[in-house]
Amino acid sequence: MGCNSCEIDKKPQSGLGAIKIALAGQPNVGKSMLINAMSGGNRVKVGNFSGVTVDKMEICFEHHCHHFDLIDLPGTYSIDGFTQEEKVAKDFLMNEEYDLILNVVDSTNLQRNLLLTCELLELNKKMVVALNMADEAKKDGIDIDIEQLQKILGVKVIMVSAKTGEGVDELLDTMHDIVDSGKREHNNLIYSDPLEEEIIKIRKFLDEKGFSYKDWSNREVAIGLLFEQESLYKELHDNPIMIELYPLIRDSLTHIYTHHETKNIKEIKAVEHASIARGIALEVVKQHSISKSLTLTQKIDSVLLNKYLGIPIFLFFMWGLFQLTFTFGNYPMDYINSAIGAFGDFVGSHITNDNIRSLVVDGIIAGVGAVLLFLPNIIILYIGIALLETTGYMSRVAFLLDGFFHKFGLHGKSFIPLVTGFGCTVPAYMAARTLKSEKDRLITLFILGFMSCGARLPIYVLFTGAFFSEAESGNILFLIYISGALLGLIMAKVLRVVVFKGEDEPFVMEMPKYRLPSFKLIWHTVYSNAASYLNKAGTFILLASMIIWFSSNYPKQPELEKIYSVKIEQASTKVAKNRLATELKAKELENSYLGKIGKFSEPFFAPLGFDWRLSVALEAGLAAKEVVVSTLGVLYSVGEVDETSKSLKDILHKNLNIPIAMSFIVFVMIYLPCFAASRVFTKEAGGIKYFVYLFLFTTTTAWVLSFITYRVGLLIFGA
Amino acid sequence: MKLSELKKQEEAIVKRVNATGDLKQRLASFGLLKGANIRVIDFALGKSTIEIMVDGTLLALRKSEAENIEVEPKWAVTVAK
Ligand SMILES: Nc1nc2c(ncn2[C@@H]2O[C@H](COP(=O)(O)OP(=O)(O)OP(=O)(O)O)[C@@H](O)[C@H]2O)c(=O)[nH]1
Ligand SMILES: [Mg+2]
Repeated sequence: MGCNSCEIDKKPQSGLGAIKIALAGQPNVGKSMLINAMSGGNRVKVGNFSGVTVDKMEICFEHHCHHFDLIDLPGTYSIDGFTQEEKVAKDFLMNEEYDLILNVVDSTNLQRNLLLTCELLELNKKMVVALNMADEAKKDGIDIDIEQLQKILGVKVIMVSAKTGEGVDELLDTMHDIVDSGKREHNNLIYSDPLEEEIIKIRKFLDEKGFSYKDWSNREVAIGLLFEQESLYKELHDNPIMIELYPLIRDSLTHIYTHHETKNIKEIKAVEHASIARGIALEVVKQHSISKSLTLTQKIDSVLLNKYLGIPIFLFFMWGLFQLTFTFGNYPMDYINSAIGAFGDFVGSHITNDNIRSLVVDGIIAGVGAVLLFLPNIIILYIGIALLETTGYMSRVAFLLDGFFHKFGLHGKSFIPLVTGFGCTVPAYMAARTLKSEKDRLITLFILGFMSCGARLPIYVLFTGAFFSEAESGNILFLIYISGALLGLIMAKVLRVVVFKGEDEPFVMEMPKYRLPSFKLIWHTVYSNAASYLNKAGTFILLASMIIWFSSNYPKQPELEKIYSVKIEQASTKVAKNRLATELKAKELENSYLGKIGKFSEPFFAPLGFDWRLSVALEAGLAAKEVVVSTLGVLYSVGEVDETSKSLKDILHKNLNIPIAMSFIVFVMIYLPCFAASRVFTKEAGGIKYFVYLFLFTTTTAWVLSFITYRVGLLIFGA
Repeated sequence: MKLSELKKQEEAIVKRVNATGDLKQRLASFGLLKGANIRVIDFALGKSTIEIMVDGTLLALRKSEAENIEVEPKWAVTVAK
């Protein structure tokens, strides 16, 4: 048999013998990391908090010549989970076709994880249990009796570590063998005595009738019936045996209800599972020493979650991050800037055709270069976000801020999508799925755009750098982000009071253990984000720069040129010549296609202090925020007369003033996120109608606040 | 006694969870149900949010939820300290 390497993005063909495995488990147990370990790649996102994976994702690869098709599912505390992303997992497990469930379990927290394992066992599918985090368990002095656990659960159990790779090969081979062997082991769990009695009664009856259903044992059918498994009832509905079964079941349920003192079957299930889990944990887990990682976590928490210091510490971290973003980011910036300038001059001197030279130098290099310049800043920002995501601090901040958020009508958990939004708004919209209440989710979606995404960072760095000293700029940057966030909170409150009135959602959240993130993990996050930034610069931004260049250079105006060339000829001094040339450039620009568009929308933006160039840049920014900078780069470089390359920063400084810059920053901070984000928003919010609301909401807010900023700025700084 | 009335580092056993429907189920899926061992780790400012440890899991709860959980403190443990 030949091994053809499996294509990554191609849908695997299950017909070709790929085995399809669904990874199910509670949140933050390492499902995604285990998939990366098994497939030998870094294809799915890993983070140290609950709710990293919010959508199912298919990964296909090959191991020992067997094709595997793994489905990474969002973590779920219970199959009947109710947040959106938990429903994704439930729907998949209940309704889709697959060969095997791989139940990933955190071996340092076996008891709670077993609650879900019990539920999964009751689905009566082929299953393997992976006891993940073997390395951590070892460090914490936890010993698990695998043999005994296997006996109790009735399924294969394998100790693995997604971090070190221990046991991963064995796991893959085992899963393959189990799928290959036709037979499934039956559910072996032993419930409480009163429940067992009823199970046995019904099983006996089924046996006597010679009943059989799929590959289920009659015991499994009895459990399914008593636990009111809907799908089972649906399928047996037309079976004549049901007539005789109904009275039996009703009778049994009455007994069970009296014993459990409730008629809620879900509650009964929970209690049964909890006592099974406790029993198993007592029997198979030996803890030799107190858990080091838990003790350490509590020690760190006593500082970071300190009643008075917690929030200041958090603010300090954020402040530090923006200081670093600005100051560190600026070192390489000068080099990159001169490199791009030199490159432009070099290329320019080798192109003889004026038009082509202008396209390449003033269009492509100016546009793409303006975006590339900010790569270092973006990288630093992403390192910060990656640290927040992988250390476990993220959930702590949600904890610290919940009280505060609550006052603004937001849920503490909203913090997670909001922070994600500082990186990119697209995944942030998706991350809002972890909010259970629909209203909380919608409010979060609406205000997410106020969290400035990474692509807006270049605009801020550019404008603050142009108008403020280096020492101030980091602080201004911090201020911009904080005021964006505060504005988001205020808007949340407005939305809560005016539009989305409703009950408070309870706040219950798991706090993960602190983990030292591996370099690999951080590197991967930062690398993939930087790569996509570069990729965008090389494709989308390049194209946009060409369009902007073209529409700012055409149509050509030969008449105007003629008039001016005569005038310039006649001018006596060099200064006058230069002035006239600048005037010509400006007139040409104004009459270009882009100039006309800009002029058309200028009245809308004029009260905010924006000339037509800034207006055009903002409009282009609707496609993607990076385009704002590249457009400014092209527009101002086309307009420049002297060919010595000056930095865009200096040109802006010359052409604009502080009130305009502030007003521009405020507008960028608030107005609609990019096209891609708008599409995801529409999908996640559930309709185009919401997008229209978002558009009106953000545009109005942006306009009003920019107007105020501009006017106040004028009062303070003068024109 | 209510969970919200416990002090920092106090340990207790859950006696009753006075919640219904979704919330009760959610708490149960975190292992927070009758018989669970808990310990209070920390409070946020104004006791608005509480961090507790439930059988080896760290959980954050709001005060309003914690008020609905009845517990019995393990006095012996606190006295011995
Ligand atoms: N020490 C150690 N850490 C691990 C191991 N597996 C995962 N982790 C860490 O556990 C955390 C959670 O990993 P994820 O793979 O994102 O967990 P998940 O189950 O996919 O989480 P959700 O997508 O939120 O359901 C990350 O911080 C990982 O670095 C392991 O075997 N050993
Ligand atoms: Mg995941």
